[in-house]
Amino acid sequence: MTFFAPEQTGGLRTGGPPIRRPPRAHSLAGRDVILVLLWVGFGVGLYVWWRDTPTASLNNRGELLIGAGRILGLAAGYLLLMVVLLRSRVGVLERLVGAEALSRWHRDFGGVLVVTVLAHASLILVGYAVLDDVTWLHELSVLMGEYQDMTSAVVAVCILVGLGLLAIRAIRTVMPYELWKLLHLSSYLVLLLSYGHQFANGQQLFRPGPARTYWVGLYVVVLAGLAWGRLIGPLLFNLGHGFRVADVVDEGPDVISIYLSGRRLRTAGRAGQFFRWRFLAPGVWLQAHPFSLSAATNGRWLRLTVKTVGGHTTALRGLRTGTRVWAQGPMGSFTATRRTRGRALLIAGGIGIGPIRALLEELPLGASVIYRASSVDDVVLRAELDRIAELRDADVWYVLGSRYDAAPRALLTGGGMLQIVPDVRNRDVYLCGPHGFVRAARSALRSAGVPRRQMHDTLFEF
Amino acid sequence: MRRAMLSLAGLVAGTTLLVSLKSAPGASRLPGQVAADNAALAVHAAVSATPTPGGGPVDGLPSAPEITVPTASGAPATTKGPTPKPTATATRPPTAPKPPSGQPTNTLGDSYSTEFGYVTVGVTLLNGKLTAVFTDELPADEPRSKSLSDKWGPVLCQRALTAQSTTFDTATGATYTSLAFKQSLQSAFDKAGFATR
Repeated sequence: MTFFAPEQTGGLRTGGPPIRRPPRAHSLAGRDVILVLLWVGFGVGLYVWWRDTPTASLNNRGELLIGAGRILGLAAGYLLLMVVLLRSRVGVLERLVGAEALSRWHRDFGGVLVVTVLAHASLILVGYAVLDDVTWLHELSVLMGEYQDMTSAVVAVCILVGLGLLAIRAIRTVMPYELWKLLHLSSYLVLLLSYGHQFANGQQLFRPGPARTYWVGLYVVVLAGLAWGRLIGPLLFNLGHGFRVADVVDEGPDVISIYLSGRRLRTAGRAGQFFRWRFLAPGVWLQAHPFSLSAATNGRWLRLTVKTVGGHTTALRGLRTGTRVWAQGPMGSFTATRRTRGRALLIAGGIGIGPIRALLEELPLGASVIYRASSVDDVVLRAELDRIAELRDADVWYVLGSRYDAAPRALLTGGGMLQIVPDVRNRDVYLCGPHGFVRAARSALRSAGVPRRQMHDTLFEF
Repeated sequence: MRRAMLSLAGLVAGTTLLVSLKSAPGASRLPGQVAADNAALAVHAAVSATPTPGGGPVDGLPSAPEITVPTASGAPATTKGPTPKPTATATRPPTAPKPPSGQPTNTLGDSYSTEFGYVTVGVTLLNGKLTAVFTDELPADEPRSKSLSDKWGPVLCQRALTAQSTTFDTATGATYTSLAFKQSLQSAFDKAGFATR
């Protein structure tokens, strides 16, 4: 038997101080700084147009349309770069903004980008058609035929629009995640194909000058971000840590814990964060799945607690000790550093208990935990939860039953929350669980009077 | 979703604001009218400026004061993008002495402005015969004009040479440039004392 038996987990028995000091909280300012930087960059992009366009020079309808088209072209070019940058997995962004907000921004900016690109193309097309006094179809053939890199730009627009349509929730959810991800890789193609026409035909960019330098600088920043976040960073991280499977343990029905060994594990990530894990074993190495750490890092092992529902996760049961693991991360800002108050309430739904259990170790003493599960059998990690709670002066509420039972229904109301945790307004609330549950809990918390900035959640779907 | 909608609305409003701030009063006129106005004005616009060193095929020309070409809106002429370089254009008097025979001479016509930039055409005569037509300046203030100019400049020159006159087909998609080309060519013919067929 290895020393990973459940009753010994949690880093409570041996090594290190039994009660961790919580990490220093840092403010939300980081996210605001990034947001301001994004806006400033955008403003500079538009200023380039403002500076190059003389006052009163847009003196007919064609020029007006082209002017608007150029502004939107600059906006679209900038948005495209930022949408890619937001997904580059650069550590700074992941830490300061958080994976959840990043993916939200990425989705929103992406939607705006598609509309902006279409508006840019049609305004330029119609504008020149008006100037030349020809039909827009004729103008289209002129633009395609006589301008450098316009064909590839049109292809880029088509890909972008296609991706935009696929991203509509109703369509995306019927696709397998891996297919969606594969198709999404073509967005790099958009970056590549749209690059040429910006510099060959962009009114503000085709001539050398500060504007062009700025634009090139943006490309350099984004490409460097991609190279670092997608290639160099993960490579160094994995070479440095050398993760391997140490043990796979049953936690309950359909739930397993995977223990990982490696080097310098204490610095690998924070409680509450997740990684995309790729287990380099036959049959499973093709897929990478996001799993959170289910125990705070302790220098001896990392642990993931996984619900084995799909084909891939079920196959993970058969992992052999010593299997190499490739990790991408750590991701997410669902950590103790996000707290704004002295106390916390942690709410877990189902398998969401993993990161919550890890966070409980890093949050200040006196936290409360609400663990929502459908039955007693579905409660996992119970022994260690109770022990950590005892050590950290926390109380744990198990709310069991179907969602139509009285107790679970009462929990998801403002009054119910206040009944369990009377001082909930003065606590940070960490939520983790299925999307619907988290949403319901958030609205209950709002009606209980918890400010939005005190609520922190993580999403399992991206 | 709400954020995306707000951003879109902001973008539309911002673009409209920026464009209207840079627009001229009465900007909704059709470009044809403006171009017509421009063409009318351009006829009087024998733009010439201080000769730039090595600025053109013809040198040693007297300098003339720079003339500002008013645009249709009445504002001072400011073409799109950075202002064009001062152009060295020919103002050789028509009574120029005949060059010794056997030596080709280059003569530049007047510059004619289009909405997209200036057009200056030059001709090379050898023993009174037109042997070459070249352009000293074509609209290049924006990539679109530049690409049109690059494409049609040589074609127009060739057509002029073949026709030995200003009567030849204009360039499709570059009508105004073609018209200005012909005007400049005619003035070059006049200056060089070349009689068209």
